[in-house]
This record gives sequence, C-alpha cells and structure tokens, in this order.
Amino acid sequence: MIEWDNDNRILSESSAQKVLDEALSYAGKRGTVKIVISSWWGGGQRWARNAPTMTADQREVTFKVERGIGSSRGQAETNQIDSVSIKGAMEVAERYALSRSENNPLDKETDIAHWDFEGSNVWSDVTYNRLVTENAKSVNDITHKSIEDNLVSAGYIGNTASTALVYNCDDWGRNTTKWGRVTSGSCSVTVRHPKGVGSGWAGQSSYDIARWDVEKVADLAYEKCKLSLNPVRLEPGRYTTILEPQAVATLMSFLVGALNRVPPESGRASNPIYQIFDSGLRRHISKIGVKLVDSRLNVYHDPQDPLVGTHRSSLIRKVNMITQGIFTEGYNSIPHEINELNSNNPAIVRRSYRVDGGETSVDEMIKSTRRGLIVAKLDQAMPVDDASILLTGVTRDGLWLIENGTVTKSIRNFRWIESPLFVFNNIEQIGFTEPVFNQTWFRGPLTINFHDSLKNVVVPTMKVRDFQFSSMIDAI
Amino acid sequence: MKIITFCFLIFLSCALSSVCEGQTKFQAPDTIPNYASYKYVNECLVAVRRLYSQADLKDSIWKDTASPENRLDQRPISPEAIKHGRTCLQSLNLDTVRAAKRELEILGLILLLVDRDEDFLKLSKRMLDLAANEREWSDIYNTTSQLLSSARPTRLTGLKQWMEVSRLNEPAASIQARRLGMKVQIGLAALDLGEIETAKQMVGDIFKEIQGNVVDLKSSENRYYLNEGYALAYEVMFDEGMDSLKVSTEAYKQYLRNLWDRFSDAPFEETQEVTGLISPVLVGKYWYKNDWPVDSNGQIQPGSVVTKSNPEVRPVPGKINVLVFLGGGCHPYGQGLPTQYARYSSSASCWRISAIVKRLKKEFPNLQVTVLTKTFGTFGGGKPVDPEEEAVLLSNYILGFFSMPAVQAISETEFFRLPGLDRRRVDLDVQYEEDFQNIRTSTGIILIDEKGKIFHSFIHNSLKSREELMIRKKLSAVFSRLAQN
Repeated sequence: MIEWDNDNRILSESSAQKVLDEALSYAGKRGTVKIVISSWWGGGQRWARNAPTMTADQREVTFKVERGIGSSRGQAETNQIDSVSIKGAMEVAERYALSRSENNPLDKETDIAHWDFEGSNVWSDVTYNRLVTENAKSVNDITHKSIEDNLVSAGYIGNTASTALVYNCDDWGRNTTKWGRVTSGSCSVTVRHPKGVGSGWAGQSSYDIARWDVEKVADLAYEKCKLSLNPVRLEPGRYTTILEPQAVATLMSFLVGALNRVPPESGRASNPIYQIFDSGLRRHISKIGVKLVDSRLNVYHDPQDPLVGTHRSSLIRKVNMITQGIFTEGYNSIPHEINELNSNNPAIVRRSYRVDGGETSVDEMIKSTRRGLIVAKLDQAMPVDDASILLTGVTRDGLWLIENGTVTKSIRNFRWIESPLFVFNNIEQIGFTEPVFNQTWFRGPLTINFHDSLKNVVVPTMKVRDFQFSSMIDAI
Repeated sequence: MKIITFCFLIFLSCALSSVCEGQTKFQAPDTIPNYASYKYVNECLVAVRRLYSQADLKDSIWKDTASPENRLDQRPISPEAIKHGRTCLQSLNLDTVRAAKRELEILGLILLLVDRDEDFLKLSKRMLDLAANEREWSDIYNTTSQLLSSARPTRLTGLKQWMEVSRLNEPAASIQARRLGMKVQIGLAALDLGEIETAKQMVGDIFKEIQGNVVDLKSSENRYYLNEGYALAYEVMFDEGMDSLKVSTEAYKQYLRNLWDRFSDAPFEETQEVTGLISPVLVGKYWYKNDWPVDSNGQIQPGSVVTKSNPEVRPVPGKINVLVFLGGGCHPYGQGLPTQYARYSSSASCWRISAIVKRLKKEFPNLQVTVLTKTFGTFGGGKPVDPEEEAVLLSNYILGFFSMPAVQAISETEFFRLPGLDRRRVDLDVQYEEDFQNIRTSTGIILIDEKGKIFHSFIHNSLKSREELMIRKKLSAVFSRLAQN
C-alpha cells in the first residue's frame, strides 16, 4: 500500500522508495536502469470576465523507466503505481531495449550528473498548505470587487508542490538515488474596463507565497486599470521613461542571457559580448572586464539568496555577472574553465539573478521628471539583432505620461525598439528592488533539468533617458 | 517440512546468486562479459565499447572534475577491451561485417593498436562500401577521415569526376587555370589507387606544360598547384631519389634541387626545404623512456615500462634518429588528446603515429626514437595539474599506453595570462618549436641521419600510408649506406 502525503497530494520519500524497490525487483539483471518517480500537486483557480473558469486540484504521479541493454535504450512510462503497472512498465522498457537496433551509441553519461535538485531550499510549508478553497476565496473577493466597480477581471492564482525520486544504475556500477521536493506559487491579475478603454496588470511569483499578498496584487491591478482609463495618443519618439521592475526584468534577462564567455571566446563574432580577434595573441577577446552598463548596476546570482537561489550544489557558487557596470563573470563551461583558465571553479550562471537597487522611490522619480513616461510592462519582447541585443516589443497594461513631476494622463500603447545595452547605460535613477512575476514559473512534474525552468528575478525600478518608442499601437 | 524445503531453496538460490554476495542488483553486469552468451557480432562489438567506456571512467585521473562529455571524448582503450576486441575479431568477417558505424570505428582503432594493418585497411574499405551503399555520403567522408587518410575518399571521388572532365577535352584556354590542378589531383588519386603509370603520365604532362609555358605561373592558383605538382613528382619519382640518399644526405638534397628546377624558375630556397639542415640538440625539462624488452632470441618485443630518465643528448650522434612531434596532442578518434587546441584540429593521431613508429622500430631496431611533447596545464580535460604531474600523465599516455619505444622529452610550456578579468592562458613557444620553426611541430615525424642532418620532414597533414612507405624506403637507404661504410 503506497503511503501518500496528507490528502493524497504528493508522494512522500518513503512511499517513492517503496515503489522503487518494487520496480527494481522486476528488472532483469542485465543492462542499466534509470527510474524517475515523480508526483505533483497543483491547486489553481483561473477566472475571466469576473467568473471562475477553472478550479483545479490536480495531482499526478509518474513512473518513468529507461532500460539500457547493449547500446540500445528502451523507455516506458505510466501514471499508475500499482504492482501490475510497474511490472508492465519495466517489462515494456526491457522489451523495447532488446528489440531496438544497436544504433544508439552508449557514449553518454546519463544526465544524472547534472542533477542539482538535491538539497533544494525552495520548499515552503505555507505554499503547500494553502488549499484550493483559500484560493477560491481570494478569487471570489477579487471578482466581487470588480463587479462592484464595473470592471472586468481575469487571472490566475495557483500553488504547486512536486517531489521526485531518481534512481540511476549506470554502466559503470554506480547506483544513485536522489530525492527532492519544491513548491511554487504564482498570482496574475488583469483588470480591464468593459469598454476596452483601460487595462491594469499585476503579478507575483515565489516558492513561498507568504512573501506576497493576493489582495495587494489585485489592488495594484485595479489601481493601474483605473489610472489607465481613456488613454490619449502621443507621438512616438525617445522619452525619459520610468521602467517598473517587470519591464526592467524583460530587458535585463536578455542581457544576462548573453553573458556567456564560451561563444565569443570561441570566435563567434555575432555574439553581443564578442570584442575583437587579437592576431598577436591569436585569441578571440570577449568583453569581460569591459564596462557594459551604468556603473551603479550590480547583477549577480547567489545560490544562498532565497529569492533567487534555488540549490546548494557544490558546483554552484555566487557569480557576480556585472559589478559596478563591468562585465566581471560570465557563464563558463567546465572544459573552457579547465583548459583556458586552468581553474576548476566555473561560473555556472542560472537565469535567476538579482540586481542591486537604489534608494529612490517611484514618487521621487516622477517628481524629478519634467516630461516622460511610466511603463508597467514590456510585452512580446523579441530580438532584432543579436550582436547588439536589439529588441522590439510592445507596452502593455499601463503607460502614463508624466508632465512637470506629475502623472497627467494615460497613453495609448507603443511599440518599442531598444537594446538593454543602451537602456542600462542611460539610467538616471534606480529604485527599490522587487521580485517580479515569472510567466514561465515551473508547473508540472519535476524533470532533471528542473533548475533550467526557474527564472527568479529580483530587480529595481529604473528611470532611464531616451527610451525609444517607435510607433503607436491601437491595442489596449 | 515445506517451510524447511522453502528456506533451503532460498538459501541455495542465494548461495548461487551474485546478488546475495553483497553485490548490488544492478552493479554493471557487463563488467565481466561472457562472450559465450553473445549471439551476434554486433553485441560483441557493443560489449567492447562498453568496456572501453568503463575502463576510462574508472580512470581516476579525470574522474572528479572533467565534464562527462570531455571525459568520454578522451578515453584510451583499456587492455581488457583490446583483449576482448581480439576475441571479437576471431569471429568477424571483415569483408561482410555490418554494424553501427561507431562500433566499427572502435574496432578499427583496436585493429590499429594490435598492429593488424591489413585488417584495418580491409575494415576501412568495408566501411566505405557500407556508407556508399546506404548513400550516406557525409559518412563516407567522416568515417574514412577518421580511419583512413583524410583526403583519400575525396580524391577517389575527385578522380572519377576529373577524369570525366578531362575526357570532355575542353579548349585549353578555358580550363587552363584548372588544368594543372586537375592533373595533380588525378596523379595523387592515382597514387592512392596504386596506379603508378597514370601518376607518372600526369607528372610527365605537368612537366610538358610547365616547360612549354602552357601554364601561367603568375597565377596564385597555378603556383599553389605547382607546389602540389612538385609533391606529386616527388612521390612518383621517389625511387630515383633513393639512389642519391644511399650516397649521402647532401646528394639527396641536390636531387631535390634538380627536381625543383624542372618545375620552376624560382629559387629552390623558396620551398623552405629543411633537408640537409643540422638538427638542433633537443631540450626538455622532463625526460622519460620506454625500452622495449629483448627476448631470448635477441629480438626486441613491444612493451611498456616507463621510467623517468636523465636528460639525454638527442638526436643521438652517429645514429639514425626519428623525432616524433606530438605537442599538438592526439586523440583516440584522431582529433587530439591532451591539449585544448588539438581538440579542434584534425591532425594525425597518436594511434596512427604510434603504429607507424612501432613498425619502424621493429624493422630497424637501431632506430633512436624521440618523442617531443609539451605541457598545457591540464591533461585530458581533467582538473588542472602542475607541469611535473602532467609530465607523468603524458609519459604514461604516450610511452605507456601506446607502448612507444622512445625517449620522451617534455618541455614545460611557459605562458602568461591575459590581463584583467579574462585570465585565459596564452602559451609561448617552447624551445623545440623555435628550433624547428620551419617544420610544423604539432604532429609529425622527421628523420635525422648519423651526422645530425635532417633527411625527411613530413609532407602530409596526417601521416598517410604513402608517407610511411617513403619513410621506410628512406630508412632502408640510409641504413644500407651505413652498413656499407
């Protein structure tokens, strides 16, 4: 009898171990075996036009097995963990392995080597214990309020918990069993005017939902919606712009993603941090050590930072990607680190990062602006030119004009075309930091590459000069 | 009674089963392969490959830090795998074998290692046939570039194409630029095919065109083909040159000069020919040697007992010497072992060179072989090592694993780091690279006579069977001269 965690939501470690033991008893003695037993629970509420559209209390258990015999592989998967199903999956995997041609070279170490999930510190009891009924109550409050205000709201509130037990017996006689669990929570609220003349959005994500309040998120969305009503047309052009953290994160993530030493130093000249080929040294030189952005900016990834850090793997250390505007460390692969630097301490940069903030409030930023804009969100960002990280996209859910230190009116959305290298060199003021909403926040059963799906970002509000808006768009 | 019987059965099954001996259930069951249980050749090959992987991963040199990818790229084949490879080979018909390409590559490497060259060539031909039958034209190139000389298949294809073109008998004016190159290529491909008469005919045609001023030698393209044509003529007329080498290295150099003069009005010195130059005395910081043992019949036998030695005077005066440059590294797949740069190159591999050197040593026991390598701060993608430690690893790899019958001089590479945060390592040329700056010192072989004069430096990017044949002939000529004196 499998023992589930309370409410049959996720498998406990001992339960998963029992399933594993049973599965191993069905495996033949020849070849390799890899088993992943994962379980997932997700409680979510989705609503639109002030009415709930989905209430989810999902739970899922997955049993995956891969058998290797000779150089061929056979896989099987089931979402039942009774004896018959497990035995059947083991037999199917073995049968596939035996029947397939020998054309899968046995030359890859299994991805178990990259497993850095163990010891993860992204588990929160508060998140796990928040039930669907509580989410439903929050949704009820939000929708009632929007009905009262004659507005239309839509959004999602959800929290999940996942566990995984990974067993691997490889070709070299090593048996490893790893166990891990994570929680996640997210909330996204969009409030619009029924006639389509105004829209406001707010969102939050964290593994620990105690760090934010659904009501405050909703209030922010309401406020932004009301403030954005009846937008007026404004000529596109370069404006001093206050970028809210969500907008800053959109731009900064493209910059952080480019901070990889390996492509430019291997000679990829189209890389944004490629600098020059030094014929004397016969080396491609990257922009490491070069000032890339404003000297007030520090961008780093600290695994011990609960808001961005997600693991305690010994390979991962704090990586200072940008220090005082200077590109100080980029992602470096292990072979590149060993061969080129003769060092064994590579910078493994994740997509989670924090940018140090300043001490200027948004109000102060507005007060000090003679004429400018406030952008809540930069949406649909996509690259136009890789070498300069030139991006384009549209503004969404809030764009306001500032005149003589006061927010005067709401503006119709713009298409923007800009490079973070330009934007972050034109910073006037830096505000307080905030964790931002992560649209790709992890959902579903755990995978080995779990951490690649995390993008925990903490960034400040920024006021920048000459942000380029190229054209006006009609959508609100 | 039933319970007692049941317990007895349990006990019996445990006594007979390895699971009950403390072994984990899935503990690499194929580490002790029972070949009797393998039904098919493919399985046998796969088992060899598994051993190959396993042997490498158990190597503690790079286990803790190297990335799996890197580690797997640079593994040596273990003696155990070689042994089982031999078992495989006994039941294998190389003319008809059919297996995954990568398995066949491993098999080819094993064949090279156990000095079964004929079988190696046979297998290479089979791989070509397989690729051609399946119309995997990219595989033709990739496979054979790893196992056979890199240019051979393209030349074979080129020969057919160019022969067709030549039959078209285009007007000379329109194809003049291509004409010389075409003939050179046909000649070289004919050499590959063993069609010496065709090659000689092409050389004769080239001579005629040059002497009849048909070819415009001001064209850079034609000048390039001119050098190629010279290399072709050198090979085709090689036997004539050997007569001069039997006299002296100087006479051989004069022969080369005469040959060049037939080709070009440009001075012979432009060829940067190193034949006849005195070899500098070799310098190395760490010295190791591997002396092949002598059996009861007085014959040396391949083996590997690597010992650290004192600096020696190399090349040995009064002896015929071979210098083997492996500073560029080498790789089981033909790409380059312990260096970061060699990984991206496709220079001749240690496999091929070691096989050639071992054959030469067997044929000419008095040959003095010196291998020149240098340090890189890391070995095989493993954790950073200091030069002394790296020297041990290098000597174990070159002299031990490959059983090279040689003295190995290892130079400690001086380097600096790029300033600032870059910190990348930039190596300076070591002494032997400066001494032999007219010679490509990444990978290759040069021969030095008893007076210390160079009489052969490699002419191909990778050592091909043709070049080995030339080396053998040259050594025969020089040794016969020594015997007469």
